[in-house]
Amino acid sequence: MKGSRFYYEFYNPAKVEAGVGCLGQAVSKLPSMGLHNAFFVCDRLENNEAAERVRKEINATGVRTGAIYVCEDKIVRLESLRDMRDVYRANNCDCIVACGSYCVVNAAKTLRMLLSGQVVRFEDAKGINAVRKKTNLPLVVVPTDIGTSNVASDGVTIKDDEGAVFECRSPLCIPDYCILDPKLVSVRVAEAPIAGALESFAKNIEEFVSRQAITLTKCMNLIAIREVRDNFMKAADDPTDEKAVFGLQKAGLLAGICYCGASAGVAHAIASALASVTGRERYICTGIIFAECMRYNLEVAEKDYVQAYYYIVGDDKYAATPAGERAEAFISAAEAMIKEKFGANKLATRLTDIGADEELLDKIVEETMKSYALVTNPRKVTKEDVYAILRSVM
Amino acid sequence: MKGKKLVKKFITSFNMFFFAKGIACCHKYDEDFRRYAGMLPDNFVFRMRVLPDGASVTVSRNGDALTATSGKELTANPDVDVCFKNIEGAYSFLTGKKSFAVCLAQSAFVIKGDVSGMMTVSHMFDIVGSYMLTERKLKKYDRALLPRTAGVHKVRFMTVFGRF
Amino acid sequence: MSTFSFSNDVKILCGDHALDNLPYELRECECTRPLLIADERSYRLGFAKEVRHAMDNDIVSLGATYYKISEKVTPKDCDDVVNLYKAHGCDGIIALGGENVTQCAKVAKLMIVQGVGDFVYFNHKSDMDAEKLAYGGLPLFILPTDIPCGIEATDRAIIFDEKNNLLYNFDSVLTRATAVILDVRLTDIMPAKAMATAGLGALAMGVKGFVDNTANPIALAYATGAIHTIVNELLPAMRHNSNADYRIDIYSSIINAGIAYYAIDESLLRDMTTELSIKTNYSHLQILSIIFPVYYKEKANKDKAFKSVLMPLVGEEEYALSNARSREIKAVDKINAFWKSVVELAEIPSRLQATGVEQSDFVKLADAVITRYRGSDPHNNFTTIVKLLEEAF
Repeated sequence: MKGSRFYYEFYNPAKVEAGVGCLGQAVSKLPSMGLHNAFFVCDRLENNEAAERVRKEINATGVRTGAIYVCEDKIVRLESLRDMRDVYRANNCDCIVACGSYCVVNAAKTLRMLLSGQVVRFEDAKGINAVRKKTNLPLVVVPTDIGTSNVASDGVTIKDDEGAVFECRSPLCIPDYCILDPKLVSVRVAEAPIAGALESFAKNIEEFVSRQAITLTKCMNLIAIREVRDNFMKAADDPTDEKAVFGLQKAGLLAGICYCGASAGVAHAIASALASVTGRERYICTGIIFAECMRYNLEVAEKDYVQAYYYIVGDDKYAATPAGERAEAFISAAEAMIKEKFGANKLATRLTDIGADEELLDKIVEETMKSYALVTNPRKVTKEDVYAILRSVM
Repeated sequence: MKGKKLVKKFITSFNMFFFAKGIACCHKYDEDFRRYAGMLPDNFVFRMRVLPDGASVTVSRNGDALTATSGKELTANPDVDVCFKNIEGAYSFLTGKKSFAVCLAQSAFVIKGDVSGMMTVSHMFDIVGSYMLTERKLKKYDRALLPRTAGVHKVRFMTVFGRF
Repeated sequence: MSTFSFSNDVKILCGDHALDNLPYELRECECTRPLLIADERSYRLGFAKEVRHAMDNDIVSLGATYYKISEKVTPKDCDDVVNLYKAHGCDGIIALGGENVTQCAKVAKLMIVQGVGDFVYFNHKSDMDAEKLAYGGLPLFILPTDIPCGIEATDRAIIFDEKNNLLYNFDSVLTRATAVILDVRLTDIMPAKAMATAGLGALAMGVKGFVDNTANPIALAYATGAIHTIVNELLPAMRHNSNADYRIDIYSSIINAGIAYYAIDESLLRDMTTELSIKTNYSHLQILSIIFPVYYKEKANKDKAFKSVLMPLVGEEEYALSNARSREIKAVDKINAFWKSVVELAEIPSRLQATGVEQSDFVKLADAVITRYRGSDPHNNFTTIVKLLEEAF
């Protein structure tokens, strides 16, 4: 019981429509939601069946495609945002539809935040809850990745003109409508299920133990952890297994919803810093440091680990593990899951595998200490702690 | 109730004044604090205020110097602007009831500007808090007692009586 | 593998000094002249004063106030609120009070946004259901001062016109609140009896929400959290009813349970409860606390989802150690035991007889429920309803 002394806010306005083949039913509601002329953002159009299908279904409801923008930035750049804004305005669009990967969703959410908040200078959008809604601009998101965990979150990542990466958070980044249809998911690279599932898994665990966590977000995170456990291997073995893909989509959705109420922690901060400094994918960095970060938080998150342990191992193993050993067992189980299941595709296990050596350590720590995620870590994180974590996986 | 709010407003303004002095004092005497301040870009301006038109404290870095002023006049375009949504949030922070981290976790304020700059400043605030708060309060305020590189009593004395 | 949909954009602000965020939230909505409506109880207990103080010296100030919402909200209350809103050029509503004020405010918002001048407009209209993503909205802030009823953060509102014996059931995004603010300063010590009936009613909503939403992970999470909190904190809340921490936790659980419960499209239980509530003048939660044990006993045998409801009831350890084949039975036993302990401690009615319902009313009630029920489950028929009523009597 946190009690009345603990104040919290919870807000996630995303309307969710999810299920196998739900696309048709979901888009049929768009006209009554006031959408007329859509600005369509997607990945590369070539062989992008999902985007084509979504666009056709939307057009069939009477909602026109005012313009199509292909977003290829891994992290959306200011330059691309300006471009998108100009195209949006030139075509008199009145809503945004994003169909694609994590990057496309990120770009569309950022564009909506800037346009809906009528932000003139980018500097005015930086921060947390810095942008106030000035005009309605519906945003519909149709992810085509497995485990996209930014679908319903309130955060976006942007690269400015100097190449610096920022995170902005605002309720305006949360889509109005999320359509999750596993039939639209296409796995273009073999690592995609691992990337999505690992990120989602790590995020859910961190949010579960977060300083901001409340009963509601904890329940969501536990449900998501169980979905990853049940579906990851099946999706990795057979990316056309719709049930497994849907399970991972749900896990990612829940991670995003909880992010609004309970942010991530030290693992997220270090992984982001590592990814930024080394140029490697964040899920790879997460895979290296996650277990150590969980060990670091053990002294304050023991009770939570004991609870979450059940959702990774199930009835038999949980019952067979003595109560006093469950917290440590949870860390071992999560580590095993990362190394054996996620790592079946040979994830990196040491920092040196991704080119991060002693020389880069100072820079990585400096970047880590700038992360907002440290604040919501259940244990207060100091520079020395970050050095210790990194050295333990060197 | 109305009186209570006025008292809190007064205490908040009063504490903000000494908080600003505490920042300047820590910059002079604490090594860790100076190191964090050195990480901020040159001409960096940080402002903390109470919405809608309450007291504010502004911290600005010019080369090696760090100045902190309190009052109601608002500096234009700070790099980071931390706006407490109401007097309660500011009061809780400035009386040491809640740390910056807890205030942030409980959405007590809105942050406009560079979040990474704000994080650096938050570490500086923690150092100021470690000098200003009593041992008992510090244990409740934050789990980890921060190491202090300067004498606590000296910093407190200079915060109250020093001129910066 | 079924599809699911979920939508809830009500902001929940809960805990220490939550009310102090009201002016900020109003400013964010660009609302500068809200109308404050309350019932006499809230006014008498000084809660309206608390709201005024929270808005002291802010750029937002109250456009008008109205403290005369009837104990049983009527269409006239809605008309009065709408007229006052328009007369004072208000741009938002703050609803401070119990279920009556909440229902009135939601319907008033719908009327204002739809441009409905008089409640009579709704006569003979089917349930209103409008979806407009582009809809800007009228800020509505709900500040429960009494035990919440569960509809605060939903799209529902119910007004019963006693004079004309008409029930108006609204299910529209236009009745949705902008935010629900739970501040301990706006609550008072609740007698154990009231806490008990509300807690059991909320547990019923939570269990029903859990069982019927297994395909919807978001609604499931709301239900799970609510069940877990109520099972662990209701009895301490009743024993230490001056403890604000327990009170706020139970209140927020009721709201979360309501979100899960009303996320179910069609529910025989809900329709039965509505009809009984009209018949007996007992609240929805009070009726639920009486009929739910009978209802789930009947359903548990048929519904496999009851197996997994054991988890939030007992926790991971006990769940893991339990026999997988008998989890439904264990869940039913656990709920029964909990119900019994609460009923005995609070000495609250546990049979329908105590509400004034008579056996001769059963046929009429069952008829009314069947007319209202739009679900497709063939087991939910006239005979089942009468059987449930007899068992609960």
